[in-house]
Amino acid sequence: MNTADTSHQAKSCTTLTVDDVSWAAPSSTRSMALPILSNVSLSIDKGKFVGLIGPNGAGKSTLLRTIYRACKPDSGKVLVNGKDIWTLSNKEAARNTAVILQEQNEYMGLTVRDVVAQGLNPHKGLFEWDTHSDRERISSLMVDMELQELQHRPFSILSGGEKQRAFLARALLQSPELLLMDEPTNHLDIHFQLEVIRKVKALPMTVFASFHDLNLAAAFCDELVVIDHGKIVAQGTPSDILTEDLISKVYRTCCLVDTHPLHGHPRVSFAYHG
Amino acid sequence: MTAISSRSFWFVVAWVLIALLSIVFSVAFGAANISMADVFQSLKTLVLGPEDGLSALSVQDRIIWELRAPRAVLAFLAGAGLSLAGAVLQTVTRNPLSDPYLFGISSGASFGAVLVIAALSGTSLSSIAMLSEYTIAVGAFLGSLLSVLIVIALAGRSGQVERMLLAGVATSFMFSAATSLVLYLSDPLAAASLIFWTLGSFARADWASLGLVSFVIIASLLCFFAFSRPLRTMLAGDENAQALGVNVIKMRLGMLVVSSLMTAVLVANCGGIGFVGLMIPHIVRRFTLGLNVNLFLAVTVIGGAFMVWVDVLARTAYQSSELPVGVITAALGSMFFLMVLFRREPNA
Repeated sequence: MNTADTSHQAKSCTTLTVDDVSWAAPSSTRSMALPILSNVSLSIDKGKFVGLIGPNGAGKSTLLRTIYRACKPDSGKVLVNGKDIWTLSNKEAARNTAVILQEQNEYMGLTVRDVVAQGLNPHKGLFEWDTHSDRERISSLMVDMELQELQHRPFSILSGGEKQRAFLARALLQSPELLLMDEPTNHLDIHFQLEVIRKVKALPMTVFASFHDLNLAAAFCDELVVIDHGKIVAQGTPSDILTEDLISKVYRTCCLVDTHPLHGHPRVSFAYHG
Repeated sequence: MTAISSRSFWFVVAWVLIALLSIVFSVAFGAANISMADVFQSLKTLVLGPEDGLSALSVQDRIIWELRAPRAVLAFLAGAGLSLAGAVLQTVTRNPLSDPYLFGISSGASFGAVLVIAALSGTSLSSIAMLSEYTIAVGAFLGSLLSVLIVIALAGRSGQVERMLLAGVATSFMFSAATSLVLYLSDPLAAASLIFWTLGSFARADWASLGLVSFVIIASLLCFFAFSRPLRTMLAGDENAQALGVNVIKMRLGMLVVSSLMTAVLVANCGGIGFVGLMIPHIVRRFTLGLNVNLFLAVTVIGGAFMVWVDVLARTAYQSSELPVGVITAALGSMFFLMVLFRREPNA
């Protein structure tokens, strides 16, 4: 910490602040601008693992997109580590925030190692090649993510869980303050879901991730943020948030909330038959 | 790791050697009977210096130095440049079907060329072969620039891949229609002259025009080399690449402009040679998978070497007359490509 930072000491425990952000889908795709986020505010403390939950179309992905600069808010601000992200260069922003998306690409001809090495991009200028220590770091991440056997294989042959681990390795190589994940467990079987989430949970990093599976969110998140119709409905610990009332209102489904017999966090059971 | 580094190193060394030797050996092939020994003899004369300039050179030396050598170098540069443009465009559009003519560059060039041919055919200028050849090249260059400008104006601001590809296809059809119309209204001889622009040839190569071509290719290669990390990162998809610190739209537009300029210069010099830019990058990606070799470097060397031998085939395959280069690249290329696809293990 140098002296310039001391004035921000009060803020230093907050990694992410979303301040009164609104965003509407551009009118060219719809007849009228469609509001997706309305006056969203939230903050996330350093080192916390925070889950973002809400029904389809509530604005989960869009909220995350405003934080990794894929959407520029129509109004409001997003601060990462106290800095407005839109005042930063692309590379500066990428050194602060990494993201793991559910979208799948072909990665034409890249090996697993090539994909992981993309994480160095925000740290490198033109004609700046990988150094010996870069290569060591990539190799040790490969070991951490149990990808060392696969590192020279084409990325496209990996299974869903292996791809997620490679994306996690790439995000870690970015060495960000904040890791965003858009439904990181989508399409994974329960073994890989737990494996990926446990790996993320073990990191000393601030994480903001969207979830569809409320029980998974309850099991791993320090806090939950609930979004519905583009507005934040609630933010708090899983046991404060996951009430039968709130879930049935937001998800329009009846449920029973009790305590997980093994771990003691809230457990949600849905009423399947009317 | 060290095994891969050394394999990658020897891969590059081997291909650079193959490319250099290809240029030298290819000089021995053609209508006039010249042996490899003659080529080396002539090389020795040039390196050690003839006593009194070019006049001391024999007819054979002149064939080698004034016809075949520039031709081999132009073939190498064209193969290298087209493959490089293809590799870059496939990367920035993440579309395996992208090629250097993505923006209607070849149809724009044909249109420019045919306009010049039609305008000249009525006048006495057509008898001055030199002038009309250069004018046609300039017309072709301007035509291809025009098509690039139209596509960028249409698709530039959003920078979306789909818009760009569609704008390219539409521009291409527009210029083809205009070319057909001009041809239909003009002299039948103009149609014959246009075949050069659609099929390609290295027959016009001379040292004077090679300077510009090699400058453009080397400058573009350096540019792609400098940006190879963000270019590789763009394969992650637009949102991921943005989040990894790449200015996706600027990068895509910039690379399109550079590769289009490079292609336009090549088209003006040797016509619209097809299929190389589409095919070579795919083959090279398979060769280099798992090696630590820069794709753009590998594509340049391998694409260049490939084209040198295609031109040798064009000169020698059909008895007395030359075959159009474009016919050979398309025929050879498509067959080889089908073979590669056929043997391709799933998902590799």
